[in-house]
Amino acid sequence: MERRRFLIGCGAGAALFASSKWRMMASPLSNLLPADNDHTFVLLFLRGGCDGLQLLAPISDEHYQDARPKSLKLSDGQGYRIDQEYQHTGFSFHPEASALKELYDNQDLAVIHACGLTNGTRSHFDAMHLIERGIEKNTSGHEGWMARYLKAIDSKSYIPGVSVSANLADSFTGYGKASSINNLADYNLMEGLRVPQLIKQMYSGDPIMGSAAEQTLETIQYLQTNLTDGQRADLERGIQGYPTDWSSRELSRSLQTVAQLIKMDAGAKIINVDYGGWDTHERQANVFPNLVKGLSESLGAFYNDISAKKDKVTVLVMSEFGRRLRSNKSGGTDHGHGNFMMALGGKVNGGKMFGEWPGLHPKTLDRGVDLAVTTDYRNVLSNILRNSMQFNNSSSIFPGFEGYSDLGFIQ
Amino acid sequence: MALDKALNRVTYGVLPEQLKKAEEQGWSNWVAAQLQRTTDDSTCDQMIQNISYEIEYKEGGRKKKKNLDLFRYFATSSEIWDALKDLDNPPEYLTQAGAIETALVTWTKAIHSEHQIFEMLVEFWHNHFNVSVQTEDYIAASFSIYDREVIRKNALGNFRTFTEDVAKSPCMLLYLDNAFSKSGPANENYARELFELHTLGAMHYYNHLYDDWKNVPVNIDGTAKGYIDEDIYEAARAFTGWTVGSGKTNHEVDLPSTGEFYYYDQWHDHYQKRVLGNEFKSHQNAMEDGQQVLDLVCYHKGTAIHLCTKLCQWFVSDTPSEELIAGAAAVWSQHAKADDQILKVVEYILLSEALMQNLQTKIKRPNHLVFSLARKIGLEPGIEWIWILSQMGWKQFSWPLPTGHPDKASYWINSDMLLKRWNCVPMMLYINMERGNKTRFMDETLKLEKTDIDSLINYWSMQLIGAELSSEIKREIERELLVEMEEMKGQEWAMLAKDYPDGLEYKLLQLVSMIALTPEFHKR
Repeated sequence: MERRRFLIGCGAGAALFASSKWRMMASPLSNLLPADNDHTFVLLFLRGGCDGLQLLAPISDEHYQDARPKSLKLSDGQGYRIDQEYQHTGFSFHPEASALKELYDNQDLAVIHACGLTNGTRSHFDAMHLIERGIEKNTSGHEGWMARYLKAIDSKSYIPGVSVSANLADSFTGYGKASSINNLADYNLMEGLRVPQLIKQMYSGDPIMGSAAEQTLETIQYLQTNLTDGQRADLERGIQGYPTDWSSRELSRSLQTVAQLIKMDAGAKIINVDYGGWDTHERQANVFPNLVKGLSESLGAFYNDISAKKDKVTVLVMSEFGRRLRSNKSGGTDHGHGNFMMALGGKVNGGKMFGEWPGLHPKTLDRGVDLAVTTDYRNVLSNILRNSMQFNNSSSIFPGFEGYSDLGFIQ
Repeated sequence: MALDKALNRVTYGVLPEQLKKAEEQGWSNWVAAQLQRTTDDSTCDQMIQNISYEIEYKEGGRKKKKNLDLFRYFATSSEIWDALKDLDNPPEYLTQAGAIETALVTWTKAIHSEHQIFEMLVEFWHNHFNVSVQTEDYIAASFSIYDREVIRKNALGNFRTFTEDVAKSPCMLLYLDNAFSKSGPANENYARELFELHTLGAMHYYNHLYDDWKNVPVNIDGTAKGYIDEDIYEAARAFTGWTVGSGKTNHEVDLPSTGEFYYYDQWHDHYQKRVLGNEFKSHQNAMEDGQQVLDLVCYHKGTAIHLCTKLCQWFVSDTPSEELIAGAAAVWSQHAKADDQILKVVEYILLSEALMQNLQTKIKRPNHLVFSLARKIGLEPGIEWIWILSQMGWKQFSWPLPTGHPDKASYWINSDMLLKRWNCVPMMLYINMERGNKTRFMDETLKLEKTDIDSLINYWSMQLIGAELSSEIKREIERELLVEMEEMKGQEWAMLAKDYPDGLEYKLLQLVSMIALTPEFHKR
């Protein structure tokens, strides 16, 4: 055998065995256009229990002012005051939330306060489990609510449900076509191992990994055939127009991926993004401002990035619960109950607050310690499904939930 | 019985000599010997002594590199503390070394230790009592202490003792904030996770009853079946004052400078409490409140069920039967005060019929996947594994949440993680080769009688998954290997070794990477 031929066969170094097999895999599905409704619902989950009472502070409430030390609350004159009182209470955004305030003032962002689980759990894992399954009582074996929705609309899109993270959000549990994508740019099999056909054969019919493997190969194929060179270059260049400081970097990267999926019309119906670190039991004053800054600036940059498509996107920001009104003795706050949710998008009736603000009088607090829940989280999700997603049968997505009402925050 | 598959379930990869031994001894004797750790492990111990690594760190704003031997792992806590406290700003390498060395030791043992079941249990407990080294410098610096004197010390021991060692360990005290918990309002973080994760589990949380303790259902013996939020508030009060001797001294605080557990009475909430329906007297002796809580939760029936559920999930199935769990829980409770309580329970689970009926149904977590590859082809761990594993979602000693890494397949099998798993094997092999390290590919291949493609595929699939691949899959692999190399069809590949050793090595790497894709290699 000729040495030259042999070396071609072996390749050299890391660029070895480069023989892309994607052409073989190409199927008629590869350029599928987004199906029916082309709206995308982005759920931004603040994991750990965000202290809503410091992010959007009821500063005129005397019980609020009495319950916390200076470092864990906003006092009058601090932060960005919302012009109009809401239900006789004055609210201010945190000083690091200037981008959120701007979105609010531009009427793109609406706030629904005192939302959450009506189940009184104070456990992160319990609360997240319930919320991601769209239920209120713990019963085993439920699939995720996003899974139920995607099954119900029977989306023909290639990647209808996406977790922008290295793992799949529990809300997608039970839906084989959900994908997790951490980084679009390098979402491919390694050179030297581009053997989709072999993988397909190996995994076909595997009871544990079969459907996930198939979805992985399809996602790779879709992205590799549809990502334009320009988009790829954008992604490789890194975060353009997004904040890159330490506190914002991670969320910026995730939201940039979301923006790319939206801009490439990938047909994603629901996208889940996580932003963690909110479990501030101690030294909250040290970490909270950076978390808020990361949230506010990344979200602002994202909205700017997708501005041409903003009427096709609804973002909902939520957390599993709020934090206790009264702080603890180690400079933090413990697990609470009610919390804000924020909706952002072209269809949102922004610049307003919605829902019933129960106040912080000891008599109206949940169990005498926490902000009460006056709006079931499933009602907020149903409002988005019914309005922006034009899906009327929301009660099938949230079994047992009968309290639907039009909250008015979304067209 | 499928002994090789059973070994694959409870080890980080079956090696021929180990299988042979198990065949001679029989499953139950082999398990017993594993749990007693009677086999000589000096080869592995020697390898650990020889670990060295290079770390990059910042000092005075500049990047530096340092070659280190394993110098922190066996240090005592006072040695670690002494090294740190002399410096206002300890060099980064000093704080990171404890965590890095613990990782290197863990990986070396997973690959080379004879005591494979023990190492699997160490992994289990590190996740059960999860601590992230990213939380505080001192956690990273002293993490070897947590590994050696808390996790490894108790991995087969008594759960009550274990839990108190955890409660008093500076790593856990700092990670779940109890070190800062003072009377009025106490910090609930540790107390909540003690109930929810470490002992009774969320399955025994009656959250809808909140403060209605009188209506919590009771067992026949009158003890509460589960816990409510008020139990957590009270337990948080019980643990106030359990802190770390951090040397802080000012007008308010006066802590000794030891870096070890310290009970600081000034921070303790001395008044009466009620936990799980039990009244605590006010002004008990030092630490008695906390110890009483530990007794209540560790000896609780709910804890037996919760812990046995997790152990059965780890060793048997993502969805173990209630019968198996109940059987294990009975052993757990029967030996509640025995020094080898956990050993007894694990032995019961491993000798159960259920284990044999559920082989190859568990998904290897990323670390396990890497260990098994390393055991099969002779890779040695390096510091870069921290990054490689994190790419696949395994955050070695850095899982941020107190839950620890999930154990179930539903978490690990999704598109991003599958893709990363598929890519990881060739990536690790490339990195290894670029560094000029040898694997067993060449040596073993040259020893084979026949080295045509079919023989090579069969040999390496037997090595990796203990079985031959189907003929369609073999054909596909063969086709891939022969791209641009059609002349090699039917030829002996060994003849390439003389003139093209690198090329042959690359081809073998490609072959092994393809075999490692098979679902069988990702299961245990």
